[in-house]
Amino acid sequence: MSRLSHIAALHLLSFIVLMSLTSCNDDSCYDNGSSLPLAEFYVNDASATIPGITVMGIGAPGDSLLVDSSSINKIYLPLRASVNTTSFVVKRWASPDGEKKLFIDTLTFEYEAVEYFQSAECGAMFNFDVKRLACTENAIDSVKLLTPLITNKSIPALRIYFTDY
Amino acid sequence: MMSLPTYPLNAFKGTLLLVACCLFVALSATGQQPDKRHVTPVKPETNQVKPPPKGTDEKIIQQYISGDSAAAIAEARKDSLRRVYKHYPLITDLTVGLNVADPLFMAFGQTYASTDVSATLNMWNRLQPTIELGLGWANSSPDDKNFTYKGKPSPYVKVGLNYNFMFKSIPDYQVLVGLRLGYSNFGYDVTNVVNFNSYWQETTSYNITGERSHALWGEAGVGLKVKLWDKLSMGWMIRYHGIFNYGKNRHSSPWFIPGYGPRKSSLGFSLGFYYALPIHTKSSSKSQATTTTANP
Repeated sequence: MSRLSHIAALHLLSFIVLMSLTSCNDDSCYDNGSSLPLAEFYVNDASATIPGITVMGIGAPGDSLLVDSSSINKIYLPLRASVNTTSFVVKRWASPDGEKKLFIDTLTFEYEAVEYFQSAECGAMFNFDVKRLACTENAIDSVKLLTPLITNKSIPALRIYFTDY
Repeated sequence: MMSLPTYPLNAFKGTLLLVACCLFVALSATGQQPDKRHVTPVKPETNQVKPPPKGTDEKIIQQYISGDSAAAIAEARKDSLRRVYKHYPLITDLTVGLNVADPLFMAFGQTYASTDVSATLNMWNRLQPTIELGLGWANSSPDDKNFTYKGKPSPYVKVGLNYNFMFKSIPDYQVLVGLRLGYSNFGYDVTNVVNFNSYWQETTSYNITGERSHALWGEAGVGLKVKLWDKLSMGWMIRYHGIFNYGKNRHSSPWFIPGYGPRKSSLGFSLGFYYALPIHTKSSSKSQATTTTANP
């Protein structure tokens, strides 16, 4: 084969390799499409599944529920971008002294919504810079904020410690 | 009563005896060295000193004459290698180029581009320090996304070095590996952002404007350059790249970096046309090659 044929073959081979490599490019978003605080449930410093939990946002259209009488160990709590405070009602059925009772708590986030362009794959969203996290203490023992800046990463942002009934 | 077949046994014994005799004779023969002298006649035409080939280095001739034939043979080999593999001057040529890969890809729907002019010094037809100066811009509104990204036309610079694996050949054809260090300081806007919160049934829209960032990155590539006509050539390079450092903002991370491409990409591609300006300097090597061909 002549030198030119070698060069042409090399060009062709390299282009094939290039096309193969570029076809492997992935434009998927591997994180959430929006920034949602993920709350994990704990009892006595251990992750726990809480039965009979109902959660809803205060002022949600149509009193829409996030979860209704379910057994869960974590939940995403969507924050409002148009205001600086979002509150949630957490209802829990429990039997502390043999009699089934309904415990109602309120969980409140105070934050600054930060407009943020994450990437071409995930798009633009709001991040939330949490200034304060508070709760009532009926079924909930305490809350702990793990990270003040809530982004679209799928990592826990807070822990809710429930009373051990 | 049948008698035993004795004949074949006797024949076998005879054969064995014959082999033993032959072996004895052969061993006896090898033990004796005949006092025969070998005569190798010398033909008159080979018994003379031939003149050295035309163009043979005087140093080699002197070595032959002085009787140091081993050194002469070694030197002659080196001399023949020098004749086969040309030694190019320190600076063979200066090549200027224009990278047109991204503008070409934009014609096929790509939403960003980086284009640059380059200057490459060809040293010994082997090492090629190079500098690339360019502009990059972007304008992207993905159909399934909630934003418009506008990368303002911003400059970038890359410096680096190519190594030509075909340095023993003429500069018309080059197989290159290259390293680059790139830097850009750039601005961008993210506009027409619309967010819908399905739980709260809220729609919010905003623009992020006047963002600025910078990036420092490295590239390693392989490529080819081929002469098209006279001093004009064409070449391309596939570049694997990675960012060493880039500036994040409170409201955004840059998507497009001029000269680099999308921030999360790992491959780049350049396709350019090059024009060689012959610059000949005296080589430090012992033998000079005439390099009248254009460097692609």
